[in-house]
Order: sequence, then structure tokens, then C-alpha cells
Amino acid sequence: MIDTLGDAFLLVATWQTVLALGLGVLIGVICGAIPGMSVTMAVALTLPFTFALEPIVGILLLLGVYKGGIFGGCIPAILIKTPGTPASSATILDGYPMVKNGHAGKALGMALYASCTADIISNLALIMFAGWLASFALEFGPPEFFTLIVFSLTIIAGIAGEKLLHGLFSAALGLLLATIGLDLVYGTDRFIMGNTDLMGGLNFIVVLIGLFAIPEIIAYARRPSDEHLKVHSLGNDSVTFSEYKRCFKTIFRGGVIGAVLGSVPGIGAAPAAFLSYSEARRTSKNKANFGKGEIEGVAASESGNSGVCGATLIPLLALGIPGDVITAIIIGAFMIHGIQPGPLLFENHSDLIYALFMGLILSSFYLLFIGKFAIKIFKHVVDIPKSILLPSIMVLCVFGGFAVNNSLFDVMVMFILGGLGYAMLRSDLPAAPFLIAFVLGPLLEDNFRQSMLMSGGSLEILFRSTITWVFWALTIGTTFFLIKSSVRDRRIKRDAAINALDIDPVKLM
Amino acid sequence: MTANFDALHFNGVRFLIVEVSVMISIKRDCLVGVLVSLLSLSLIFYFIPQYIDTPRSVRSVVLSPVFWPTVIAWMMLLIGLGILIAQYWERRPDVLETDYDEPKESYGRVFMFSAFLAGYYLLLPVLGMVWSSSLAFIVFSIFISGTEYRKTAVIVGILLPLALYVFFYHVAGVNIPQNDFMRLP
Repeated sequence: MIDTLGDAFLLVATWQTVLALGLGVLIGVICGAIPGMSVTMAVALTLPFTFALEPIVGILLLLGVYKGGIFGGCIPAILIKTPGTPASSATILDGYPMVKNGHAGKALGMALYASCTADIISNLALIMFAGWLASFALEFGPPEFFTLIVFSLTIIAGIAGEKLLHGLFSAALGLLLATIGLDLVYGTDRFIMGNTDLMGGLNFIVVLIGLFAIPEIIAYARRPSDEHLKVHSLGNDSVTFSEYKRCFKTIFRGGVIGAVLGSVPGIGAAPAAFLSYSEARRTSKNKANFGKGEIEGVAASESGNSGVCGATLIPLLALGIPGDVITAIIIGAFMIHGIQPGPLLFENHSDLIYALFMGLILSSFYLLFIGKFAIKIFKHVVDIPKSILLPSIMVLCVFGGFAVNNSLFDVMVMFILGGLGYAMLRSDLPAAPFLIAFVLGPLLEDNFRQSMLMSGGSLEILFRSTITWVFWALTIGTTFFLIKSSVRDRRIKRDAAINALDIDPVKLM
Repeated sequence: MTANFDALHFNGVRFLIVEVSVMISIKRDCLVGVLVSLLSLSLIFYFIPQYIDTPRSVRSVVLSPVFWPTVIAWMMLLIGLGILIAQYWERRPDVLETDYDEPKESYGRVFMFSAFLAGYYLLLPVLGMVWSSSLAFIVFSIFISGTEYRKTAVIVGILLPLALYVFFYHVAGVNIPQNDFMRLP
């Protein structure tokens, strides 16, 4: 154990790792702060730069971008009422009124301190539970993994968008494209159509950039503009220790909520922020002040969303299942370096795991210092004209897409998938289930076929243990819940629209 | 009487707006449903039999290379039919935010931009990645976006691809394509 910790420390304590982590947090904060540039896009565009780096350096760079991005999203949410990321939507509720009351510095300061505190809580949850879950998952065989992945796909596809069937189709499309290439068992062609470039299948990074960055560029090209957003001044006030102390209970609760929700695949940071906010409002002494510029509201929402970051790595590291779309990208980073996340990672690369834990703890402190700096330079960041930013992203995409395999064919695939991603965007088909299904597809099929090989083709093996039964029950329960809530949401929306227009519902029947 | 008529007329117009927007949403989702169903049928009856090689020695149908894509295709068919049935069943008026009033020029712009990306791709092996990226950047920024920061666009358009070349070629060891007449060190 001590030896492993020593090895892990040696991995982290290099100037490359320390620099990469800091750089990652800085890139993340800046990208998160630019409205229209998502954290997913930032992580996707950073990924090709990690090829040449050591695994730990590359992975920590990406984790830095992820963490920085989640915090960075709160800066425009507070200062210009435009969340940089969906996770920061709840921060607007009290952050922007605080700015209007002349307390911009206080709101941003509290957002930063709440984020850092919740991040530490989340990292501790990861350190405590990932190993335990991984040791439990060592008992899993292919049938158990198959049922686990089916369950993960159900929950992710369902939560990804307002329209359940659209989300499921998106996931099915991801599964289908994951089958392109040589067959896993027999090595025969699948959808290659005579093109040898497709033998290895579609590259994950190419798909990723195509789906998440190119559609944004096309959407901008459709309606280009260089509009400037009005940024409020920060003022001179900052958070006092007594204010932090007063909000600590809320921050701690938000961190725990974030850690719990983050460890469940598919939920993500935005619901955690809203749940944390509503809990804080319900229990606060200043309940009436919520929504009018209450500092506790900012603390609640920011601790909720930042609490998710470390915890989403629990299913990733312990089970090899991505908790959200960003961790799906980080799985790709592991795979590029020949490392398969999952229970065996704790057995075979324990030094890497501990090094990651150390790096994550360090990232919380980085976030504190870089966040303070980023708040001050935000005005200049938001001033980057989109007519310069979007062409820059396009060029980054081309270099990144090419660098994966030194292949111009990949650049073409990336543009084609960008077109597909844009069509999906216009048709209300969410891209996140597609990507997660694309990552999980080969694992799903591999475990299914391994199970079938074990049983000689009998499907009974998929019900062989209590664990498989539990996952089947969870899958059926989740599907039932998703269908029920989807029907209910549609009905509520429909009634709301009818009421808003004063129309007799009978007429619409 | 007049007031009553106005109120009726007003409600009638609103009703019409809802009906039109419902029709548009139904049209769009119906189109998605139809396309999904057609895609799945083409997979089941054409692409899977045509483009997946199945060895004769397959022991069980569940181990066959076609089994998994076939399951996905049937799943897609069910989803496509589900979308169609849901549209027929529900007629949602929650789509007033849809962009049915979007100008047709924006579709033209998307088409033009696709042609621009195709041109960019075709130029990569001819001009090399650095110079074609510089050109594409400047065209995108100045001519497509119509930026007011023309000098910045030109400077960033030249420096960014060069900086990326330095990183990928000299640091990451990626063999960035170049042309024969303006080779970079």
C-alpha cells in the first residue's frame, strides 16, 4: 500500500503533471465562461492534445478542463445572466439579482468557495467509494456487465432530453455506428463497404468532435453575429469568513447531493444544482430572500453542480461506465493510452488510480487560485468575438481530427458526422445518448457475445445471478418511470400551452 | 356584440396559431418518425444482408455478426413507429418556440457552409493543413461571418494553424500534411 502510494506520488509530483492540471483548470474556466462554448466541447477539443502526453498527465489535463469548465459556467451566469453551462442555470436565480444589487464580487466569490469546498467533498466520496465498488464489481462476469450496461443505457437515454423516444433513437444510432468495423468474434466485415479505413471502426474522438463541435459551428454559420454582451462591473466587495461560515451547512449539503447524484450514471450536474438549491431554500432562515439575491442560493447551486465532478468518476473508474457525456470522453482518453477503466484497473494500475486521486485533490486548490484570477479577466474572455472564436474552433477540430490516426479520411468522417449532429440538433435528437451508446456499444456487444459463448447460445445466462436480476429489475423500473414521467411532462406542457393561449382544450381534440 | 365578435376573432386567431404550430411540430416529428422507420427497414432488408459478412460456421444465431445490428435495427423500427404513433395520439401545442418563421436564406447558408467545408477538406492535401486552414479561417471569419475585426482575423488565421503545426508536428510527432512549394520546418 505504502509502495503504491509512493509510486503514485512520483507520478503526480512531476512538473508536467502539475502544469497540465493547472493548464486544464485554466482552459476549463475560460471555456466554461464563454457563452456558447460548452464544457463538453472544451474537453473534446483538448483530447487530441493528450496523445503525446503520459497517461496520468493527459487524463489530469482533461479532468482539470472538466472541473474548471463546471465552475467557469457560473461566471457568465452571474454577470450577464447567461449560463456558460447548463449546470450553472440555477446560479442565475440568485447570482444575477446579487449583481443588480451591486454585489457581483460577493456572488462570484461565494460561487468559487462553494465550488472548491464541494469539489473536495466530491473527491473524498470518490476516494472512499470507488475502490469499494470496484472490489464488489470484481465478482461481475460478462452477464452481469451486460445487464449493468443495459441499465446504464436506459437511464442515460431517458434523461438526456425532453423526448424519450428521440433520446432512445439517438442511443440506438450510436449503438449501430459502433458496430462498423471488423466483427469482434469472427473478424468479418460489418458495414465497411470495401473501405479499408473503416476496418477499425469509426474513431471515438472523430465522432466526438463531429457531434459536439461541428454542429455548433454550422449553427453559427447559419446566423453569424458579433453581438457583445453587457458585463456588470465586479465592485470591491468580497465574501467574508462569517458569510462563508453561515453558508457552510448549505455548501456541505450541496456537495453531498452532488456527490450522490453524480455517482448515478446519467443524472449530471444541472439536476444536482437545482436539488441543492431547492433544499437550501426549503431549510433556510432567509427563505423569503431566495430569488432576490440571497448569497446562500448561489452557494447551494454552485456546491450542487461542483459536487458532481469527482463523483461521476466513481462509476467510470470502478465499473468502466461513464456517468455523463464528459466522463464518456474521459473513458476515450483512458482507451487511447491502452487503459481500460473498470474493476481490474484497481488491481493492475493502482498507482495510476492513487495518482489520479492526488491530482484531483490538487485540482481543487488550483480551482481556488485560478478561479480568482479568471473572475478578474472574465470581461476580456467574453469579449472574444464569435467571428474569431468559431473559425478557431473549426481549425482546432481539423487538426485534432487528423491527429488521431494521421488520416485525412477521419477529417471527412468528422465533417459528415458534424452534418449528422447538426441534423440531430435541428430534429430535437440529443447527441449525448448517441455518444454514450457509441462508447458503451462495443462493451455491450462484447459482454453479450461472451455470455453467449459461455452458455452455448442460451439466453438463460443473462439471469444467472442475483446481480443480473437486480439490474434487470432496475432497467424495467427505470423504463417504466421514464415513460410515465415523459407522458406526464408532455401533458403538463400541453395544458400549460393551452392555458397560456386561453383555448378550450376540447377544440384541440 | 362587437366586443364579443372581437373576443371570438382574437381567440380564433390564437387557435389558428396553435393549430399551425401543432401542425409544424407534428410535421417535423412525423418526418423524424418516417425517416427512422425507413432507415431501420433499409437496414433490415438491404444494408445488413448486403454489407455484413456472416461465416457459415456460426454455431448459434445469437453469436452471428448480423445478430446485434439486426436487434438494433428492429429496435429503431419500434422507436420510429413509436414516434409516429405518439404524434398521431398527442397533437402537442407546446411548439410555439419552433422556428417555423425562419427565413429560407438560413437554409441556403447551411448549404453554402457545407460546400465551404467540402472545399476546405479538398484543399487539405493540395495546400497542406496549415495553409488551407489559414485560408479557411480567413474566409470563414471575413466572408461568411462578416467580422468587423478583419486584421485580427488575418493575424489569428495565420498564427493559429502555425502554432497548432508546431505543437502537433514538433511536440506530438504527428505528420501534418504539407504542400511541396511552401514547406514548413
